[in-house]
Amino acid sequence: MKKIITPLEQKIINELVAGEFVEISGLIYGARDAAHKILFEMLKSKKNLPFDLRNQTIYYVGPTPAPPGKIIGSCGPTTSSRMDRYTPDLLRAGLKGMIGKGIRSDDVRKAIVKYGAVYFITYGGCGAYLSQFVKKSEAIAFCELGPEAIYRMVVENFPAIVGIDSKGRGIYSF
Amino acid sequence: MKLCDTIWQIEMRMIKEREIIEKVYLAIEKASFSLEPHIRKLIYDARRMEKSIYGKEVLNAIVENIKIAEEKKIPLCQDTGMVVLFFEIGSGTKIEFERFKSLQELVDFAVKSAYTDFYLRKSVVSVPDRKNTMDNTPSILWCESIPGDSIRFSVLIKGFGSENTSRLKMFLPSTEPDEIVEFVADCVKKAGANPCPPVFIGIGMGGTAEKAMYLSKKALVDIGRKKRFDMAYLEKKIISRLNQLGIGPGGLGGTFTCLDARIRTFPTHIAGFPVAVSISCWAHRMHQGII
Repeated sequence: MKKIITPLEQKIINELVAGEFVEISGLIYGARDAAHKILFEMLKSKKNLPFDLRNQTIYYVGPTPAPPGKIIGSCGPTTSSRMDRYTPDLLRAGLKGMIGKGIRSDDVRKAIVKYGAVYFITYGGCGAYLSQFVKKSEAIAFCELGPEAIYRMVVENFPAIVGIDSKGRGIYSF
Repeated sequence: MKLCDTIWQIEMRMIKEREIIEKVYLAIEKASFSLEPHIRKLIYDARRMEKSIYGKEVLNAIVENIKIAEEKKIPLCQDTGMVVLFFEIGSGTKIEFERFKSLQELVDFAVKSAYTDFYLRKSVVSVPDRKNTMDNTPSILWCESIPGDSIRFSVLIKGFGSENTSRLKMFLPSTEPDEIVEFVADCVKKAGANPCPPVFIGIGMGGTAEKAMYLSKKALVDIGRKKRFDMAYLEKKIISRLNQLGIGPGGLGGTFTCLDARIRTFPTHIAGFPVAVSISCWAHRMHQGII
């Protein structure tokens, strides 16, 4: 089990191999469909984003609300391919890591290689289990979108598998 | 009194709004935090038998997830879905509407209350402007009329990772069962990791296009329940075909791609043969009740 720290360093990214089990600790950003659409449009119109994308990792998640006194609710990965149309632009803007589930388009794979990034997958439908690795969470932008807001999260030993590495090798065989 | 008038004298069983709301509310709670025993057993058995390293690791996480969800009361999955309700209303019942104007309004109140009180995710947006309705309503309500003086209902918490992989195909009347098996296999293959395998499959055969789709969804609530003798062979064939695909738990390779499949049928037109496939993730969240 390889332990890795976010924000990701290029040297660490380059060493990751598809299929490798990892534990992620550090800062990540939760964002899914609606947030991606807005980020993409902001990039296109050269507006300032609500957070600096450079070297950051985005987790495709829309958590359930945190009950009083709890850090977060259930927070497993959503289907990554819905973000594919926005991903190459986000990678060009400096995004380095993504966490989700399922295959990515060929364009995304190429962009991962071009910008030296990495795509992780984690356990689908395991939101209760994965919530145990989240130590902090707050909505930082687009709160009007409810579960689709952008969340700043701190995770500790968050389990994942390298889905597509920086050489473009993938874990899914079909 | 004339004999033909006596039929109107049957006493109807009156059902209060509150009885329905409470049962639906509790069914949503139950389904969101725990799996039914037969679903759980299929998952546990798969974990015991799965040979692939990745597949086993995924099933370990799933089993751990089930445990944590129940113990700490955290929803099994962050996608707490759209609520699909199948109501079978006994012809000898009458709902006493007071505060609500329709059954839809009434069950939506139960949905809204459950999603607020149990901190479930509100995932429903308006169409086409996609504004979140902020209380997970409306629910998808289906009503059928059945004989008897009770109301039976099934609640299905339907996540969209799997819902997005649903498919319908209008086959030729001459289609052989093997072509159906291959169609289902193609659906599951194309879906890959997205519907969170190992999956459960509902298949609707016959009727019209929308009827087949409806049957496929309703077949999902048969999982672990009554098996139709005449369909058992085809169901078994489908399950074993799907488990040859190698997709495996989490789509990471392995034996267990599908844990169970159910078929519902309806007569169709001489010119056609609609077949629909609905897929549910391993977290097949449902609950049934009788009022």
